[in-house]
Amino acid sequence: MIRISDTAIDPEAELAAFRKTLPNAGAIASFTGIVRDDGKTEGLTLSHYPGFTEKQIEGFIDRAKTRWSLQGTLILHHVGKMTVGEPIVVVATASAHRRDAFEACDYLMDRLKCDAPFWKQETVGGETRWIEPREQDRSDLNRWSS
Amino acid sequence: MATILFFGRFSDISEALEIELPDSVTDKKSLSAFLSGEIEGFSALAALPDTRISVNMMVSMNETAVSNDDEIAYMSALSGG
Repeated sequence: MIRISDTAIDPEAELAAFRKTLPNAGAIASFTGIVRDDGKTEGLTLSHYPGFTEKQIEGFIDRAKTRWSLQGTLILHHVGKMTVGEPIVVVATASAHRRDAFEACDYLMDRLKCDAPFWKQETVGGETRWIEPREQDRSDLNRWSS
Repeated sequence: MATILFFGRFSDISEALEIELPDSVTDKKSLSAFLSGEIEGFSALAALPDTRISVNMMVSMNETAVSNDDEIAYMSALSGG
């Protein structure tokens, strides 16, 4: 399932609901991204390209399914304004065994960081600035190119 | 009328446009050249390596044809998660 919404994400409730749909899964891996409190950031504003963003994410999931044996995937992304401590993204993957779930979750998160049509602005001291992928994000993504 | 959408840093320099494309605009490359003359700061953003351009929600080559029926989106570096 893919959901992009301007309403806050409740990761625990969403993950519990995801697990209920997968009675035969042997492993569920999940990642929750949160607006980090670095002492300076007041909040983030994320935007996306409705329709296109979902289509791109569907492509990432299709790709993951060719590489790992998955029983289910969950991608929830918050857009709009959010404050420190709020969840931005939840990714979960389910499989029969742990390695497929771990790696697919890691892969999907790397694709979201660098290849998903989202744009992120950070507010610091009342000023906003665009946040773009770091070299580490690109390096993480390159791990999957082989 | 073509719809031109601007995302990320592009949204700092222009709102979405509904425009009649001039005859000189036949593909993504000529559209970018046209917009460079219309929007201040556009050419610098369009030249950045992470800029992506989609036509009808398909990312494609510079030679991809564009017409007045199309939705074209200019996107600066993507950053989800």
